[in-house]
Amino acid sequence: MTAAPAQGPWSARFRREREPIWRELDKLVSEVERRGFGAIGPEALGRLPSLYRATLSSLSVARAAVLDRNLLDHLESLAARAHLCLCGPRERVPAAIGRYCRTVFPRAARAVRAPLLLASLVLALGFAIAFVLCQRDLELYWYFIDGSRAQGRDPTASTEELRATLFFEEQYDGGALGFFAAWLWTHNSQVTLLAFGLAILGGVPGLLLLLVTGLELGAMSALFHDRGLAVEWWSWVLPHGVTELLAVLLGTAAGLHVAQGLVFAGPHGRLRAMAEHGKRAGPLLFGAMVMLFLAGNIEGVFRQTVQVVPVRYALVLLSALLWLVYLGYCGRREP
Amino acid sequence: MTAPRQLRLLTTEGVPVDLELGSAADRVAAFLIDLLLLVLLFVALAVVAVLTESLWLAAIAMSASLFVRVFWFVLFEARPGAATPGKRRLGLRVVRADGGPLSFEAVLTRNFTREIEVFVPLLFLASAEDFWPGHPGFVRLAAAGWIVVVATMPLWNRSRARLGDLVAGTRVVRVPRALLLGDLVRRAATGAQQREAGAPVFKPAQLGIYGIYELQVLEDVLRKARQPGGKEAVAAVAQRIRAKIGWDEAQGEFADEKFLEHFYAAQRKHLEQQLLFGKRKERKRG
Repeated sequence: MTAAPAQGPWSARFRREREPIWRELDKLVSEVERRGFGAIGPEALGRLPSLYRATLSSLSVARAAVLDRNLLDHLESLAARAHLCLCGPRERVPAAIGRYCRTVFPRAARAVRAPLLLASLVLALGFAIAFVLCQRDLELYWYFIDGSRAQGRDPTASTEELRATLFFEEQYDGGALGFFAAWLWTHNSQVTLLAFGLAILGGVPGLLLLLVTGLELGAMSALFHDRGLAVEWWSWVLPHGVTELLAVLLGTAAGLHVAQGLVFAGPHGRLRAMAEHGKRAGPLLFGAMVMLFLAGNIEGVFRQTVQVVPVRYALVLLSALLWLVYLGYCGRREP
Repeated sequence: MTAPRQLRLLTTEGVPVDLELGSAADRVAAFLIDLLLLVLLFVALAVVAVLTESLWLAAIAMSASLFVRVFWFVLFEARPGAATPGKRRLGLRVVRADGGPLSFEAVLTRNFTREIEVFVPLLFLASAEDFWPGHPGFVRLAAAGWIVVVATMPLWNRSRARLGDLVAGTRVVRVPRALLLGDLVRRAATGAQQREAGAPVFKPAQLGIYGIYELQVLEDVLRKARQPGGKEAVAAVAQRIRAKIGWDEAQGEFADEKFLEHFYAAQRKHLEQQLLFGKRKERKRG
């Protein structure tokens, strides 16, 4: 390499001078892609940013003044790979889950206050309509509740039969309770995801789902109130109901929040508004699924084994307080 | 076939970087691979639960069917490669559409949305009674329509995003791979030194004919000279160039490949010099 290459194109010298940098970056990035940042030593890790910047600057120069297409393609691809490598998921999964529990979930829940309130109002509205109507005329019960789903909890049953549906005398096998809890969890999670999906569609279908849920709850409550079983009824519904309903409300609120971004897009356009709002949807649904897991176990195991009304109410109080404090205050001070 | 679509990211340093978006076919293939692995996993769990007749195992299998289905995607995409086994096999990965770091939250969002895109409507079709007892018939039709509309969504928008990608602000791209080959100019130069014979010398007028496009086509021809059919291409191109630039026999006789390598080096030097003076010639004229 004496005189002859120096007389070649300008880009040949450009390449000779910088090629070792690109080769080194290529090697490090390949290593990280295969085995993660842990695979390269701390020294190499320290060199990575400066190699990355040097390559980016080579790329900018090459785009303007180099005509070797293979070289350009390689620099484009190397810069993109290095960028993805440095901008990939940086957090390890356990750390991300820890941060999620401490701040991300409670904050997301507080951020969707308004849709959450709206969803709660719609649920309450459904409840109130059915409750008031059924108290006037119990026959209306059949309009709100499908006979096959009532499992004997309907106006034709005697008060004793109704009481019997709220308590379980027989002993269940642990496996059967576990299976019941698992079934409840998967089923309720899918309903919540459905509520989220429907709420994205401009919000209305998701709210309808909540309204129907409210109507069913209201009609059944009216029945039990009518027979003087109010205390027992709520001890049957609320222990898991507090957690479960809150989870469904959060799922719907997440969908409404995304729909809000979609409909009232703001200055940066629909896509960006949707992505901005969608950032909170995943964490909310994940949290809702965990809550439904707890609710499923309360419903499937606790309710079947604990028949004492005050203990059931103690759990109601405890869970309500817990969610209020956790979602309302956790992660407030962290930046 | 249209050219692959590009996603332009802006790095923190302000340099735009182009990535090739994953094609619809590749993404379907990646999803099917993941689905196959998941089904195998569930079948194994279910078989164990049935064989042992344990309700506990059945409960775990049922919970796992939901849990694994969501977190299979989340856990793989939250790792540095940002790709599930299926995506990795097809050379795809997830990136944030605006070029920032891919957060755990975004990964959660794009995968929870998958549930309502595919799995919940499918379950609804399979057992609508569980979700809505006494539902009217059109509801199944609506669910089927929903699946079709949402599943084909990547085909409708420019950035090949599915619903979950739009909600989470992510995109799926092809992991770039371009090898750095040797510099053709260097090959020409050392060849000249070895032979110590005079290299072809081109007149400035002969270099003023072609533009960048032709230069890069020539590069392609030279890089493929050793491949089957490459020799014929070299001969044909050399023939055309000699005629176009008016190569004079008095300037010397050279083998086709040697002639083209030196013409390439000289042409690139010329065009790059012009570039440094701010003159960019894209194509030959006429």
